[in-house]
Amino acid sequence: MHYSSPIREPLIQGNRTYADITEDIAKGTEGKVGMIWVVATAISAVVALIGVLSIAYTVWKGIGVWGANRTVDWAWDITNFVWWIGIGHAGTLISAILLLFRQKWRTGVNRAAEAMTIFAVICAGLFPVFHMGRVWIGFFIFPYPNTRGPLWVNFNSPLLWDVFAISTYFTVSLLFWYTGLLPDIATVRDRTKEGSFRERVYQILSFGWTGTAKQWQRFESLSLILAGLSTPLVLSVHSIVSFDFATSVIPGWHTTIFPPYFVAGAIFSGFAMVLTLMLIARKVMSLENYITIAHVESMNKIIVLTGSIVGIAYITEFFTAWYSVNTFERWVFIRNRVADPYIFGPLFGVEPAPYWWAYWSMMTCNVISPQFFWIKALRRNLWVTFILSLVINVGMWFERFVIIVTSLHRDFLPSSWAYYSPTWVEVGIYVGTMGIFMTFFLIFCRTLPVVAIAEVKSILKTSGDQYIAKIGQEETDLHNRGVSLADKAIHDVEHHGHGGHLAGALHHKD
Amino acid sequence: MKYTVWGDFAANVVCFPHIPYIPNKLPCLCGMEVVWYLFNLRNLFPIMANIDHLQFVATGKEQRNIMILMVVGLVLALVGVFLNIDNPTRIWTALLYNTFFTVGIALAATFFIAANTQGYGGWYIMFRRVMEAMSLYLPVGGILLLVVVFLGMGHIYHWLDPSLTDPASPHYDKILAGKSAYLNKPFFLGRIVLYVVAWSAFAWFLRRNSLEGDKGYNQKLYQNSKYIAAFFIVFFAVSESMASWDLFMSIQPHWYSTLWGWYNFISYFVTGMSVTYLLCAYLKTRGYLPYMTDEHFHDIGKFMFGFSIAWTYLYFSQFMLIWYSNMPEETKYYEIRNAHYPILMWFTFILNFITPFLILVTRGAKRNFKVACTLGAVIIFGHWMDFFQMSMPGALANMSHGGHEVHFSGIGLLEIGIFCFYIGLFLFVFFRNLAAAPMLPVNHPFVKESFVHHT
Repeated sequence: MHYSSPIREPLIQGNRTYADITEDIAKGTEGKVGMIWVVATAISAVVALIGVLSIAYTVWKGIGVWGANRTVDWAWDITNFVWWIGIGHAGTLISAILLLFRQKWRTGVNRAAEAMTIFAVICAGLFPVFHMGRVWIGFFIFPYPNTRGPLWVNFNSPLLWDVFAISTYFTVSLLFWYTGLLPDIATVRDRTKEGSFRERVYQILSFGWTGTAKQWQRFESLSLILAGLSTPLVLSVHSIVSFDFATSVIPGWHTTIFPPYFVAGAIFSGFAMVLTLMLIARKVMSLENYITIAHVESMNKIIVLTGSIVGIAYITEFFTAWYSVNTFERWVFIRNRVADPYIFGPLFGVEPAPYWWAYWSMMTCNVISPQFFWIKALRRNLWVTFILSLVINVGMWFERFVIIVTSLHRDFLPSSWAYYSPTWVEVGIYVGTMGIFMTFFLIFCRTLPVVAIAEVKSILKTSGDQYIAKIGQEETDLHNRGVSLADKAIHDVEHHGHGGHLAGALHHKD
Repeated sequence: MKYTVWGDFAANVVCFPHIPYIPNKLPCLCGMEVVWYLFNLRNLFPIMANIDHLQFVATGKEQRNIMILMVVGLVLALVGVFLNIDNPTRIWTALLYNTFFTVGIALAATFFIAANTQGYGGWYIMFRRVMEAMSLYLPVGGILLLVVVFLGMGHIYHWLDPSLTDPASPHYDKILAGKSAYLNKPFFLGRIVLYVVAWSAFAWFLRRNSLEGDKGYNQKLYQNSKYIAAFFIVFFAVSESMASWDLFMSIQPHWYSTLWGWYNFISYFVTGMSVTYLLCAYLKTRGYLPYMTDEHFHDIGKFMFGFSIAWTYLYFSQFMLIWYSNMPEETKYYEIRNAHYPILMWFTFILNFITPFLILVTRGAKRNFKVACTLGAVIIFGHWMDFFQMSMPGALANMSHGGHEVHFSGIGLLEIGIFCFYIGLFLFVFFRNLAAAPMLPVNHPFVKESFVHHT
């Protein structure tokens, strides 16, 4: 589309030209390394080391060093696995679904969000792998004709579907991310000093991209195919993660709404993470012209949408547990989750649930906190956004904890009831994955363009502030002359054909 | 579908005489097309184009055909009623699901308008008035829904039997007694009235703002529409789930599924998009919507394709999780259908998933009227069958409690007759509302985006 209505907010601020865009974004990878980056990376690496040591300790001693027990045999570890997988979903949503819905603001954040997807999936993958205990025979999860009997994997198990779903997701996300990077890496390469080490590295990384018409044409075809593959993946990965729980007969786990509700929750948490990191990155790397308040507001709208979907799903589940008149369903929801010592416990006349604080943390963080974003001023306030994005990340962690632990810890057999609390090893692994994630992210910020240069350029002529202002002026004149927008549009279509009114020379096919 | 030169010409000369007509497409015409252009009478006598594409007027033929459809439907339905006079459950359930099916199409249109208003959608302005006219079926369908529910609920909903919740009765049902705080007559009727009134009011408010915009460019009006749209979406998100529990899930009152509401919604949403495609294509061939291009149709086609898959996703999620867990209180729903309606159950799946998936996947199919309209009809019919299988098997099985014979029935004259009648009624209301306003909201802030839209 070559024309944007002037009531749309500009997505590139500061009267930037094509050259400015290259300069602004590529300079993040050049020059001397800043002190902030060095300190941040050092801290992240130390935290990552804690994770590595905790994992090593687990492998050495066995998973008995965790707090998980016979009753609560999935706990902290699987909570973290689902949480990290969810974090990654924003990247895929932005690169695939928002592409389908032609949301131009995606160009400002897609690169970083896709990078987060890849790092988050790496972190997520660590948890089930080390949960298997004897990690050195982890390759048993792959189905291939073998000499072990032959011993095949259990194709009926959602855990095996996870293996396929997540490995596919990782592969496609990586390809999509890297394909999109090629023109930008070439841009960085072209700015390096001739014969330098940097030039050689970027030369290899850019696969010899020269930007010929044929290369662009193949690039576009490949992007389209990968976008087509990614779209179902956005839905399938977290659906299959939800099957891990929902195919069982455990009250609190077995409910049919799980697949779409997990997907909504994943997108919700993913956007919260993107906001947390990008609000810092835009400040530190001076990207305010490319990740504007309009971008932040759009992401906050997605947060209020997905947060409310998640809220409706909670209420639906709770209502249906009551509606089912199933003793066990009602028990799990009221006595394992909702009943707090102050309001609902006395109201229902039951003793408080052992994990009531987890349930109410989840409700507060996930359902109540995003509702602030109905107010425009708060959606556009960076501090509010930043704080709420952290709150939502905490809430989504609690959601998985509530689902997993509260459903398990008091089941059908009262003699096996147990309480779960984590050990330092589990906490160490979790904190460590945050270090791993941050280390990867910081290296990415320093070495690759954080904003997709070529894609941002493609929306400049429709969404740059100077161009929008121009169209706005033209249309104000029209209103003053009493000419309706439709008359003008028909006139333009007659004279220039559909897709007329070229605000610029660039043909943007999105 | 072809973007004709005379269409432009007529549009210019007849409707926008102040804009000079320049046949900019001429240079690219060649051979026969030039000859055809020169000798086309409509170019020589532009007044013969005789159509104001901004103002829809139903022809006598159209009105007659709709009447015929309604009368034929009514006759078939009456024959069906006569044949099933001993089975009121079937009659009332058929009325219920057909009524709600058409209400669902109007709801889909309202939701689409609200979602696009809220999400800065620009491309759909070209056919927004078509969707508005669809959404204005809500009060008519809503009142019919109330009538059907009020008169027929005793024959549809097993849980209304007062002896089930009376502890002294031999029929006392502990589970239904446990649900009676939600499933009881006054609350149930009150909810249905609330849905109908609120949905109709929202559709009316959105329409009012849209018509108000025709008076002149007014950005505040657009902002105001966004508030209405936001409130509608919030209300709808809750009410559509509750309506689907009330009207359809409670037909088998012991059974429950948390996904039910969303699955129900997707079913009528994809139907609504298919109806939009068919209506726009029809209006286009009649000479209206001259600036609606392949690009717009392509995008509606994407909605038909995408939401067919979304329907499958939810259908599969619900089915697979219930099948996998294999708990008797849940599998009951599928057991009835699989045992007594296997063809219906699997044929629905083929019509609603396999067919649109394999055919609508290509770009060409979504842009080709013949293919896409055929598929649209298939999707509408498939989801109509889906609504049949959501309601009828459960109603017949449940209402046969208490000594009556167990009834199983397929789709017959009764259902087809009622469906024909409702199609006729929907079209009647639709064309009336379409004729009540210009076909393009000329001052909408995004109108030009819709003109220059391309995929």
